[in-house]
Amino acid sequence: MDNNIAKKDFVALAVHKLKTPISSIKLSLEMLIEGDFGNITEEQKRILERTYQRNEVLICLVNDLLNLAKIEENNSHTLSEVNFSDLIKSIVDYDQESIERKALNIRVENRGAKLKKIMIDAEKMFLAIQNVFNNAVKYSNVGGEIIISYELIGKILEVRIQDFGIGIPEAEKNKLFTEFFRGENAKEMQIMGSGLGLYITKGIIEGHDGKVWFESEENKGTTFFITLPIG
Amino acid sequence: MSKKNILIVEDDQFFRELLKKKLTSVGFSIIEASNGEDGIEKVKSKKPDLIILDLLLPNIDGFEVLSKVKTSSDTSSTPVIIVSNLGQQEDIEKGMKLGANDYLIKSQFDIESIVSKINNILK
Repeated sequence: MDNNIAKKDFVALAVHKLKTPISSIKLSLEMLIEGDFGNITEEQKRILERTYQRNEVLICLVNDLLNLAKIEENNSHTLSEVNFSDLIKSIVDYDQESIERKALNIRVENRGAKLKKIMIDAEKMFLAIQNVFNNAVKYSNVGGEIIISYELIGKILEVRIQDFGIGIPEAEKNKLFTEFFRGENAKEMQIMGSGLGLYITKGIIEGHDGKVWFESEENKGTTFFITLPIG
Repeated sequence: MSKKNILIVEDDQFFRELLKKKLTSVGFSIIEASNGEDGIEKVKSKKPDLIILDLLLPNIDGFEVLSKVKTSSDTSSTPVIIVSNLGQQEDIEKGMKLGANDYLIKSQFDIESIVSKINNILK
């Protein structure tokens, strides 16, 4: 059996096996907290809520482990013609519930990119950019704004995702793309994450011969830049 | 007004029990099926008002159940909400193309949202 396929199938099966009990734990905790099984004390509620939060972290980790296994499965890409603005739209739609809950204003700007379709690995590119956008949503303050813009400079597609949220502390900037890294300010605010998202994004973008970097100031916001050679 | 019937097709007994508890508490009557074949049989015999359908089921999967429900003239109008941990884009597209009304990822949805989606579909 091909080792890559065997490993990918194993990981997919392992992830499903993990998600099954995790989903029941999530639902039962939610129902306990909501009082569906009778009244609970304030202390019981507090403990259950903390347990629920930790279970949410488990869910993030399991999802990201599956994504990581997928991008490490092999170095080849499944290229297809993709309408880039549709890809961006689907990325924004994916987080619609969080966007509405935090009343965020999302602006998408095509800065003159005459892109009809581009040849990319759609699934991996969705994942790579969605991780960055999801961070912008998570780390924005309520009522904040996120700007996604893209333009074609010669044969290089440049994408920018800018938020005006909590930003990245100076001392942590050089660790951002490492596995399982999470900023102290994010942890303090109890914003959930696995610490794998940007590690995955970097792997995918560099696997497409692209680059990803950022500029950030604590409490002012962060802009991520992604460049991809196309055509 | 008589209660609306919801068929839950789900092989995880605990998850099924939790869903049943919640949906019963908000006024629905629940029919259960723990596999695809039983699900198809109960759709035909009990004529539920809505189906909650898992995808990863023993033997025949949820996609096949959905396909059979939607291609049979006596059940094709029954609304179906998929609730599954299969969350890749291609799975969602496949489910919607086969005729599901909605697609929820088990490890991501909150229970109040499924109640409101059911109420919206059945109003």
